[in-house]
This record gives sequence, structure tokens and C-alpha cells, in this order.
Amino acid sequence: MSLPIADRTITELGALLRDRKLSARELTDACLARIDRDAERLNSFLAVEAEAAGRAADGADAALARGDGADRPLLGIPYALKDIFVTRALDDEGRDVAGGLPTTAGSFILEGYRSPYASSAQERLEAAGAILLGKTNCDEFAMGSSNENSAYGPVHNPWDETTVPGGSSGGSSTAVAGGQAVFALGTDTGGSIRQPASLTGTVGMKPTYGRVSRWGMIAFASSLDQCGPLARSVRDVALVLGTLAGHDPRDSTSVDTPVPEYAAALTGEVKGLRLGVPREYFVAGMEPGVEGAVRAGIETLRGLGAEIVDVSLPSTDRGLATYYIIAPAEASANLARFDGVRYGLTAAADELWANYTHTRGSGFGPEVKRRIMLGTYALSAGYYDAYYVKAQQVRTLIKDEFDAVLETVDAILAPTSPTVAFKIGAKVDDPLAMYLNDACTLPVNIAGLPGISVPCGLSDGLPVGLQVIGRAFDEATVLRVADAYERAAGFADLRPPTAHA
Amino acid sequence: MQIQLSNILEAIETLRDVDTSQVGPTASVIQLENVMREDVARPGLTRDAALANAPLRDDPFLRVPTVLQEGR
Repeated sequence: MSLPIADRTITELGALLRDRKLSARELTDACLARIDRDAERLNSFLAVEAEAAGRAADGADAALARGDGADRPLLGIPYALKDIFVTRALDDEGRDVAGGLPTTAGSFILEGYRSPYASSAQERLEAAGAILLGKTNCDEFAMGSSNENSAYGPVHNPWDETTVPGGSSGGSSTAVAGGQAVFALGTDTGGSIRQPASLTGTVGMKPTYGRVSRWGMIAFASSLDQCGPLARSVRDVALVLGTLAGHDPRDSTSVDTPVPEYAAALTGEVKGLRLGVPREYFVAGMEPGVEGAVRAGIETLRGLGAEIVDVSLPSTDRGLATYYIIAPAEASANLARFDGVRYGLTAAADELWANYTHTRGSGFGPEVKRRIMLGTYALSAGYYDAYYVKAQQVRTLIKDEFDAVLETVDAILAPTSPTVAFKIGAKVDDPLAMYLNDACTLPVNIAGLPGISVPCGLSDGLPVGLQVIGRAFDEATVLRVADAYERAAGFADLRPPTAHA
Repeated sequence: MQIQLSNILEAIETLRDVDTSQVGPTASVIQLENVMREDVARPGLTRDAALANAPLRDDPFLRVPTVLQEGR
């Protein structure tokens, strides 16, 4: 039985659009109907622009009718952006429209903010003919692993509404899993694309640091942040990544290196590839059902002819401490710009210092405050060497270990998250327990490598993700392994049971 | 929040046990080089667009609360 239109992949829908068996307008309306139907139940969108999406869909239909779709795989495909990307609205001629979508970063401090410019991600997807539906909910300033840190309320996992959808890109993962957007963009500083993908049964990829422009992405930790897609198949992720990737002079950390044709890498073949399994990633506290699904996934790849090799990344258990120095330190500097003067919330006071303290005191939520305090502490005179420099040294160790292992294997296989989706509220009072969700993903950010999470089955009825990690700028091999796995494993049609209700 | 911060600090202080005497720091995973470009004017935001989000405006300026009060 085929899935409803709103639950299918870019690859399938693109073929229907190009054959004119489906219009971009019909597809967009199907997504908007789901967004509307589940607005309260899932709380995954913070802003929806139905009219602009309809106009863009009509434009895409006109282009499709002219036969423009052949080399534009995203033409007419509706998508959503995490509310970390600044957006501005465009009319049919591509001119700015006043009063476009707001950008909040999930924070009260940016309530009502409307960006005067667009992110590179929005520009590139618009040029590709994709249709922006709206902005998705997220943890405040992308700080969180459950989407419970949003100032605008938690997002509910469509697999079980009493559980979290992961974070911080939880609105994006829910939109894709729940049939509200065919794909969505997230940002990943310590796992914020891969972990929510794992918890919602979707595919999510963090590209190599420097592969995709960060222009217009509200900064959390600038040496770790990357943007990437969440979608319903590895091939879909490859199509979106191909559109996003490439040098952008406006982001001086974006690297000028050739972007391969990612879809061409999806051969379905892994024979002859060496895939490493780091023993340190099967951590204490990992759920047996998760470990079982991940190990079965590794066996599937062995069965396809890949050589599975036991490897060691001994500093893995230092990743968490390293991350929770470097990320808050960078965040404390980046978030200094929210001062209540130039944009965003202002808690007016008659004197500037009080204006700052009232604005920041009432505008930021507890997790953001925690991280600003940790970061300023780690950077303060007297503690700088003991915390910040020390963390940067351990960062070198972690990166060197990855580089050494990736000289002997083509890619690394690991769990994405040690658990399936947990109950809303279960970890809110224990930040350390929450941070442990990212133990298997954050070392990849520390080393700047590409990583993907692909569904590898269910445990207790909830999705589990298999993580594939690759060499810097070798997204092609990561996608190839994940795609071969996806084809063989038979979980590609996993959708939340409620989606079809 | 005090207890939470203490617990987090306790966890991150475990890095002290790692021997890093022979290791340099990594600030960025990519080889960062200065990015140079020609010093030419390019279109930017108009003043109106740049000020559109300001909470307090006094065109063509931003209005800021008193910075220094008398006697301080």
C-alpha cells in the first residue's frame, strides 16, 4: 500500500511532479493541511506562511510545466527551516516583502524579530525551487536535546506524543516524521540534527565543518555549528546536501573545495569498504534494545560485503566535558549581542546597565543562562588555562584519534543516541543526564567530521538510529554506506502510526 | 541552579586527569587563514532596514538609555 502524498520522499514526489501526475500546489496543500491538523498536537511550527507557500507552489508548477524539473530535484518540494535560520519573504519576482516570517531562535529575546536579510540556506533552496512552508520550533538558541528548552513550548514526538522528538532540531524532525514537510533543515552543534533524526525515525546529516555556509544561521558555538538536512531517505538527504554545499564568501569558515555529485555515490555497494566499530561508543546506560538494533544494523552491512573492524577511540568519554567547556565558552561570546538595544526584546530601564540585565534576565531561559554562566566562567582570568585551553588540547586528542582510525577504515559505525525517545519532563531537572544524550554525537562535532543518522529499527515501538561517521569532506562515502544499509534493512517506509490517522 | 552548575563543573573538571603536556590546542578543525578581498563598496542594508527591529528609535538613530549618570 503506498503512503499518503504528505509522507513520501523527495525522490518519489519529484517523479510525480515532473510527470505532472501531482502539482506542487496539491503537495504544498497536503503539507499545510497536516501542519494545520497537528498544530496543537505536535507544536512543531512557530510560524507558517501558507499564502507565500501557495504562491511559490504556483511558480514551481509553471516551471514544471515548462519542463524545468529535469535537473532541479527540489523544484516544487515543500520544506521547513529550523527557526535558527534568518528568513525574509520574497514576492514572485524575488523582491523583499515587508513583514516576512519572524525568526525567534526559540527565545523570547527575539520575539517579533524579522530579519532584514536571508540565510544562505534559504537563498540556495529558493533558487533550487523548493517551497518554504514555515519555521520549526527548537530548543532556545539550539541548546538542548529534547526541544523542551524552547520558549514556545515543547514539541511532541509523532511516534508517541508523551515523548520528546529530540533536540535541538525537534520541530524539524517532527515536521519530517509527521508528514508536515517533505524535508527540513536543522543545525547540529553537538548532535542536534542526528539525535532528533534518530528519535523520530528520520534521516539526518551533519556535514563536515566548513562544507555548508553558516551565513544567516544564528550562532551558538561557532567552531562546532553546521547546518544540514533531515529527510525521509538517504537519497533525499543527498539531494538537499548537494543544493546546500559549496563555498560562500560570506562565511569565512566555508571551505572552497569541490562538491561531488552525491546522488552518484549511492551505488548500493559496500563490498570492499572497511567500516570501524569503536568499542567506546557502546556506553554504559545504553538501552539494550538500542544496542541490539545498532548491532543488527552493523551485521546487515557485514552481510552486504563490508569488512567490519573493531577500532578504539579512547578519548570518547572525554568528549562531554570537552564539549561543555568549548560550546558554552563560544556561546557566551556569541550571545553577548542580545543587548536589548538594536533588535529583539527590550526591558526598558532608565539606565543602560539595568536595561541589559533586565532584558537578558527576562529574555533568556534557564538553559541559555546556565551556558552563558559556564562559558564566562571557563573564559575568565585565572580559569582560562585550566578550562578553555585544556578543553582545546583534549579536542586535539579527540580529533587525532578520529584521524588515525579513519586512515585504517573508510567510515565508522556507531549508535546515534544511547536511548529511544524519552518522556517529556523526564530529564528537565537534571542537565547532566540531558547532556548524556549527545555522548555519541558530540565527539563528531569536536572533530568537525560528517555524520549521518539512519533508522535501524524500533525498540519498545520507538525508532533507533545508526550513525555513520566519515572523513572530513567525504560525505559521499557516508551517504553511500547509509544508503546501502537503508536499501537492505527495510526500514525506509517507517512512519509514525499516527501520521495516517 | 547553583547545585546544577556545581554538578556540571564537577563533571567537566575530570579533564584534569588527561595528560596534555605534549598536545597543542585546537581552536578550529579547519586550517583557518585570513580571508582577503578587494576593498570595494558593495550594496548593504539600507538604514531603514537596519533600524527596523530597534526597540527604541529616534530617526536616524538608535535610542539608548542613559549610559553614565551624573556623579558616577
